[in-house]
Amino acid sequence: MANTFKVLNWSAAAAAGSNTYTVPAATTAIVLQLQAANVGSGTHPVSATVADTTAGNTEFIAKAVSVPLNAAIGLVAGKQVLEATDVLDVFSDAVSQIDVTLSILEIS
Amino acid sequence: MTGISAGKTWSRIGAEVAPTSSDASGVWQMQEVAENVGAGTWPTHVKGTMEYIAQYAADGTTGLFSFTSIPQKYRSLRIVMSQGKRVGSGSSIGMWFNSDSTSGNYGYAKMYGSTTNSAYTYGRSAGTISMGDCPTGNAADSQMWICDIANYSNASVGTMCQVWQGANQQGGYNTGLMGFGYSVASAITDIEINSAGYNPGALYNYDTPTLFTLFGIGLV
Repeated sequence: MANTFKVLNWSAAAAAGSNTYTVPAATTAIVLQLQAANVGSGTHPVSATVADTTAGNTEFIAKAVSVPLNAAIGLVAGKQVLEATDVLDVFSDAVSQIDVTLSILEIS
Repeated sequence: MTGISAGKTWSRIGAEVAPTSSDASGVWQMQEVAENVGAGTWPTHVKGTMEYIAQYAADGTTGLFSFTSIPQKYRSLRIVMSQGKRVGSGSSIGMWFNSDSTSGNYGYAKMYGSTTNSAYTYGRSAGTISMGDCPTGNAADSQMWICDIANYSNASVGTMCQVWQGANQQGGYNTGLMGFGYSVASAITDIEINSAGYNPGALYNYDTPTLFTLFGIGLV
């Protein structure tokens, strides 16, 4: 069993499906922190979904939570487990408004 | 769920600061967001509202300026000229998109006040935008002018606009309505505004305290 701590960051897209994290095969991931910071202009919403590819379900863990300008929100309270090939997606309503930082532990 | 407590002053680890309706700087956890949403103190996002983009403040030295690198994220644009004054009398506001001065790419129709306070007239033409005397050039006047530019970021179609302007004189071509179009299918990234719309080649400098403010409306 290998434990790998990772940090990933990206600028949230304007809609779902463009910027995602996919758990590698034969790996379980634990989300330690998922933070969304508003670096744009005005208040913008942020949404996050988890696609459970084994069950074929995609569900919101946060939907259109407004993030005021210069504020940041931790989108995961506690820990979030992701199984192999599951997909985490974070998006806003416009590009270049929300910066996303993901801290994750991959166990393989 | 209005009424859930937020911004408590008696917390063991120090007073919580409740966000205002427009500001909540800091790092917030979901339970804090939920608490403040319930208390009615969490700001809602901006979709459908109007945001400031840029402003030009006239100083009497030029009759031509541009808004450049216009963000493409908004549904529409609005330009507001307030407290409009000009050095001497002269011409109307002219406008070019994306540095395109090809007159055949523009066309307009307008209704506006005529030379007396009891008469109106109309006009239509191809060419640069021409909307009567604006600003008036009369030192006692302070004119307003508003231009809405719809769907400007769509590169697949031309751009349609409307203008309305007012002044404290009904006559003198100072008040009226106009619609105009730009037929080139392109996203509008630059807007040049000049005071030579009615008489190309002759600029009449915009004077203090004239302000031109560019706003974005809604989100694409």
